[in-house]
Amino acid sequence: MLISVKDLKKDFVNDEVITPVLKGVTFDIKKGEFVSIMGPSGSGKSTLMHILSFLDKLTEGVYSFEDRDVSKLNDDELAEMRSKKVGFIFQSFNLLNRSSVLENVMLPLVYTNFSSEERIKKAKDLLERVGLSHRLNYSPNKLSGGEKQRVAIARALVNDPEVIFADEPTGNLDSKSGAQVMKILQDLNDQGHTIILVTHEKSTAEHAERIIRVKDGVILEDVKVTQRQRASGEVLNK
Amino acid sequence: MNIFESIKNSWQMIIRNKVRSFLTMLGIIIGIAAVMIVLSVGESVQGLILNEVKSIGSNLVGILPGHSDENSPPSSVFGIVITSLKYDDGEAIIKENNPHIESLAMYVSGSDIITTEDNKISSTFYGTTASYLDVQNSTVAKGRFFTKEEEMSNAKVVVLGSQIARDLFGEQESLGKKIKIKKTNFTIVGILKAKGGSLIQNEDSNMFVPISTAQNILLGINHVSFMRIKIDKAENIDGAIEVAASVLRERHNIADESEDDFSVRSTTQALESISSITNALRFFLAAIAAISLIVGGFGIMNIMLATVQERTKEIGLRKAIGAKNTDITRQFLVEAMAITFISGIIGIIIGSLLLILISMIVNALNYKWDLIISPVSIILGCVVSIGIGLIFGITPAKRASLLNPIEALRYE
Repeated sequence: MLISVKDLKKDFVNDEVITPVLKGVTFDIKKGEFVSIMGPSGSGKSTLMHILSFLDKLTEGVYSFEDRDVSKLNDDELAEMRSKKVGFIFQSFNLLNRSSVLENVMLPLVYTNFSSEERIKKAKDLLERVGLSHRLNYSPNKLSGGEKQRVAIARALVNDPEVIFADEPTGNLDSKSGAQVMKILQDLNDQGHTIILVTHEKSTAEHAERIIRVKDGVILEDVKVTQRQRASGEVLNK
Repeated sequence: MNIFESIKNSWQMIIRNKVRSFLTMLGIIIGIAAVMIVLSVGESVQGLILNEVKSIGSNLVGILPGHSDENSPPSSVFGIVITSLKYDDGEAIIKENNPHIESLAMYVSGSDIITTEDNKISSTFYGTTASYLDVQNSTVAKGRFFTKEEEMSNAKVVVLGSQIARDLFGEQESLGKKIKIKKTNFTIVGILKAKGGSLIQNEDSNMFVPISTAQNILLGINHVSFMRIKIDKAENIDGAIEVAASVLRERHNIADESEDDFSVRSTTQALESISSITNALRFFLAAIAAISLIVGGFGIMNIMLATVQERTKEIGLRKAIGAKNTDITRQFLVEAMAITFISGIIGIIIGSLLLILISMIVNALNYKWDLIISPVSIILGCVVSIGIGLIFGITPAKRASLLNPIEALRYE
């Protein structure tokens, strides 16, 4: 099992006020799945994603990733997990405007042992796959929102992650660009990538094969999507 | 994260915020330039003093009136008139015929407005003995120096330094002409060869009359201000000092060393005491310059804290994609050090340019000034500037590394 969560709890402690955010959630995610975590704001879905993506630590329960107990990892080991096992796509892209598109995509490899030739080759390959090989030396702030998110996708893929976490990836995009991004994610999933999408929009969530609905820190339902929405758009270059 | 990326980042940060960066870097630039100038000027002054020893000769012994101990000069140095040394004292030392004492010169001095037929210049005049040339290693360019007879007989003759001769007469022939010192006419019998500037005295702009003339006619005194003895070899200095001192004690009826009414010092000793003063001054000035570096360091710290704040989101991103805390610390530390290092380099360049300017000015004033930009001060400047980046960059860098990635990513 890729991800296995049992009775996971998370409390936020602020000035001795303890606020439970996740009140015991349990689920498994298999390699190659495309899962949407859905819920209104304040439901705990973001916190759940942060824990799953090694950005945050759980308070109670068990989280094992590839059969490894994540709660026993220290800060450096968590950083290493983020470096090797996961890729992030953010709502606000989080690209560095003073670096070029190519440098942005290469950024995660800075914290790995790849040589600079390998870094450049990997990043160029991925930018070609998302159809941006003509923008290598652009500054991100010269790109459209859709292009920015495709740069971010290339960045998320550059370290060959086990799981791609997408946090409201279409939230800042127009519907056409949003569809393109979802299409790319679906194509990646078809190629075998595990994708965990966090969103509060039903229409976005339905691009996945499975939806985990979270509310008030508990799982409301965990269902297979019967009529998966196939996004149409620019085809991911293979 | 490699170092070149960090340096590139810092460079971009400097370029993007030109004014802010310049103001931040200014403290370090000034500090490094100042430290460099102080150290190099100190070295040049040291060189000047060494040249001085060479030009006067390290085999000279000075006799000053008034008592002194090991550590401090006699009070006559500070302009207090002590009349205990007389012309006959000097003559008595010569009459000892000590094989190591080659010659002895005596000096008195005064100043006046010197007038020629068509010129007036305020100048110092020295009354001295005929042995002056030998003791001072000077040579006559034109004419002659005054003789032993003239030295003792109130002769109204004068020998001019090369500079004062030019000042008084321009390119005209001055030999044989008259000048007036204290309303007395003197005949110019010689012009000295130019020697170049020196720290203690500038022979070129002085004039020399027989000591008896100076004492009796110009100043109305009967003591001498100081004497210089030329010793054959430097290693015989101590022996010669003893001979001179014992002659003087006998003549002044002094039983014990502690009652001496004179002081005997070798040139080397005198210069050593000067250089110990300049050394102290040098370190004092360097310490003041160093304060500018500390102030500059706080400026760096301030700007790095601002940078960390501005780039909170970037820090969050970097952590999310796998940066360890140490990676973040290192990144900002290297950036701080890159800024201070760049400042240091600029400071070294500015300091060097100023040193070149200083040496041009001092040389134009006719002093022998070696332009010393020592590799040590350049290396020191580099090391110190990087060190300041390290010391003052650590707090902001630590702060950056301890940011919570989730909050940092949300930061707007």
